[in-house]
Amino acid sequence: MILVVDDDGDIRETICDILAEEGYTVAAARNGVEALSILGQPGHVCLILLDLMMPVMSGYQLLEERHGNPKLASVPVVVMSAHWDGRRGIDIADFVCKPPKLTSILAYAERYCGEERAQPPSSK
Amino acid sequence: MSANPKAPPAPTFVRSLEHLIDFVDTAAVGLHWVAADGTIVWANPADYESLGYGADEYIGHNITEFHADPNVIADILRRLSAGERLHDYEARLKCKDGSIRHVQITSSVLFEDVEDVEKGRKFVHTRCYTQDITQRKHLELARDRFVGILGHDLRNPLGAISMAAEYLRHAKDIPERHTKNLERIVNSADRMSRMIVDLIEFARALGKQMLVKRQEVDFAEVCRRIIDEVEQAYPGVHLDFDAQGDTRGQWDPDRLAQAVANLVTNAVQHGEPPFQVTVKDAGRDVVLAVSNQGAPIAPEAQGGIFEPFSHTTATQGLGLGLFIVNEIVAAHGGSIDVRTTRDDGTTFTSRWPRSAGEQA
Repeated sequence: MILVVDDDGDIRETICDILAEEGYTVAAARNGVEALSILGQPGHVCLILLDLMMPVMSGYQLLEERHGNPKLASVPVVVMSAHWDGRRGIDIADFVCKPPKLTSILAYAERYCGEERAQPPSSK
Repeated sequence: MSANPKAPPAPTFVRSLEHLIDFVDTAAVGLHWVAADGTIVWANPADYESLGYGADEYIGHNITEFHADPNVIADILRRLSAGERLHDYEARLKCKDGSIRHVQITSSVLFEDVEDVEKGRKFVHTRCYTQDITQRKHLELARDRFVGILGHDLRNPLGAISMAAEYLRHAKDIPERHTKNLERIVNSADRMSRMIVDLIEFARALGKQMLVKRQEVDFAEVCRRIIDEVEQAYPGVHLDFDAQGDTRGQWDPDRLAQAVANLVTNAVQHGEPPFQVTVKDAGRDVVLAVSNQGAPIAPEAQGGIFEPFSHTTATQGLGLGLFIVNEIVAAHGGSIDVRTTRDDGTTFTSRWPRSAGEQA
C-alpha cells in the first residue's frame, strides 16, 4: 500500500487516483496524525509520499516520529515539497520538488511497490 | 605655541561644542554610552524616545532592561568587553508600551590606557549607534509570507493540473484531437511552474546575498543533464555541446543546474539555432558559454538585461531568468557578460571560480 500524505485535496486525490488506476493500493492522509493512524493499522505500507507543510502535524514532525519508531523507520519516504533542508539524522528515500512530475511519482511507486502492484495499468 | 589651560575657552570652540551637542541631540540615529556594568550613562533623545521613554526612565538604567532577548545583549556585552567592534548587529528592543522594535547596532568600546600595566586597559564606555529597522523587518516578514504562498499554496493546484493532464495525455482511449489540448495544459502548467520558481528566487534574493553550498561537481556533467532535459522539453530543438579540459570544481550543484537551465532555456526561447553550449577549463575558473544565432539584443535592452523583469522580446516568462543567473554567478564569486552582434549572434559567457578560495 502506498500512503499519500498531503493537506492539499487536489494533489492528494490526483496522486491517489493515478496510482490506483495504475494498479496500486493507496491510502490518503491529510496530515501527520492521520498518517500515523493509518500506519498503526494492519497492512504493509511500501512507500510514503509525504508533503512537509501541513496543519495539525507537519511532515517534519511525522519524520521525527518515524525516526524514533523502528517499525516505521523501515518504510521508505519520498518527500514532496518546495525544498528539503536535509535534516541531520533523518533518513529519507528521496526528495521531489513540488509540483512533482508524474513520471517521478510512477517511478517511485514502481521501485518500492512494484511487486505489490495488483493489476496492469487499465488504460495505458 | 601651546594653549594655556587656565585661559577661558575660545568663543569659536564653545560655539562648535554647542553645534556638536545640537547635532547629537537632533540626530535621527540613536546614540548611547554604556558603562562596563551595563548602565546607560548617556543617550541622545532619538535613542530613548524611539522606545517611548523619557531621559530619566532610560539613562541610569541597565541596558539589559531594554533588550527583548537576554542572550543577545549578553553576547553584545561579552564581545564588546573583549575589544570586538560590532557592525549592524541585529537585536530586538522593548518599547515602553510593550511593543518590539528591531534595530541594528554598531558599537565599540572606548578604552583608556592605565598606568598599571598589569590591570590592562580601562573600559570607559561603549559607543553605540542604533538604527531602527522595524519597517524593513515587517517587509521581510511580508516577503517571507509571499514566498510561502508561492511555494506551497500555488504550486499544489498546479501540480494537480500538471499530473492529471500528463496522465490523460498518455491514455490510450483519448482521441488524438484532444491530446493536443492536453499537451497545451501540460506545457502551460510547466511554464507556470517555472515562473513560480523564478518569482520565489526573486523574492528570496531581495536585499539578501544568495547562499551557496559548495560541493564537488563536474560542470560538464551538469550541462549534459540540463541539455538533455531542455531537449526533451522542446522537441525538435538540438543543442551542440562541447566540454574542454578539466571542468571539475566546487559549486552548489542545484544552483549551478538552475543557472545553466536558465541560460539554455533563454537561448532556446529567444534565440535561433544553431545553439551552442561550451564549458571549458580556464585555470582557476571554468567558463561557460551559451550562444545562439538569433537577432542581436537591442542596444537599449542590453544594459538592464540582468535586471529583474527585463523583457528583451515578447516573452513567455517574467524576465527573471537572467537576473537569477546573475545572482547565482555572483554568489559563486564569478561574473557574466553578454556579447551580441548581427554576424555572430548572442553569447552569454560566465566565469565560475572553482572554489571559494579562487573567488576574486
